Amino acid sequence: MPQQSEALTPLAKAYRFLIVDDSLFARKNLARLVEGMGGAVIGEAANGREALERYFELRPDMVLMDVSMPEMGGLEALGMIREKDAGAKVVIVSSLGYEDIVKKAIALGAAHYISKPFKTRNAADIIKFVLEKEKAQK
Amino acid sequence: MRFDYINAFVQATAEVLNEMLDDKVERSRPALHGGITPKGGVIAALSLTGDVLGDVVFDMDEDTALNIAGRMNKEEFAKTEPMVLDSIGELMNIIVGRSITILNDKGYKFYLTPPVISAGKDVNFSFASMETLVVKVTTGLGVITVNVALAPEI
Repeated sequence: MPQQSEALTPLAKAYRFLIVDDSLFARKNLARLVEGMGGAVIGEAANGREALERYFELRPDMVLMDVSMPEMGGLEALGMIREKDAGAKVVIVSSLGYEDIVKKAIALGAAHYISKPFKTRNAADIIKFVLEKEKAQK
Repeated sequence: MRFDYINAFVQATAEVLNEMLDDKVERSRPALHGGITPKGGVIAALSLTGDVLGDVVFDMDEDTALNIAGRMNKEEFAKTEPMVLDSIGELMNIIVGRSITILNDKGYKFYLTPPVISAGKDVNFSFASMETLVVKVTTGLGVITVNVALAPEI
């Protein structure tokens, strides 16, 4: 869980996030993390189906997506988002961290994978890396 | 019942409680029961599919649930409001997710359903006739009982 007192390296700008998780606690926790980095949560969804609607309506800079959710899981939603938008940045945030599922997520186009429970600094570093790696490489 | 399955759940429970609640835990010796019915103030139930079918149910009294949710959210709760139940559900989801990760990395195939949370004085859950392994995990915030019921292997 993010430690509120921990200072995080800020993002270069207020990137816009969509948070997808069936747990209200998890959404709140992730919102605290990205807002602590200077990001803005522009939408939330509780399952993959809602995530698809919100994604194409809001076009966020990044999606933080759980895997195991009712109605439609995160991997199915990830595949459908990337099919229509190959540039979508989707980071999976899940308690499921076994090799097969991580490989499947990467094959579907996930930008990275964060295992729950996560250390705040590690998760922040991954989010920053995915959003700003192209800029850093220039 | 395969004890390597059970060990994964017990190991994951201790690890996740340590990491998320920053609390040392003690666990009882696992005990086998036939189709018991957990009783407690708050129950979180998840189903397993894959190599083996079964259910995992965590139960705890209301005070323990309030203490754990309070630690997770860094605020005090006086009653089992939705955020308390949601926080307990997410904690159990992470424990079972870790268990499944341990088992899948060993070559087993397990999947889980999202947790169903129930609360109240009369809340209970029946495993029917399935053999159930029960482990009590004692934390500084209260006792959590982990019940793992797996269907007989065919």
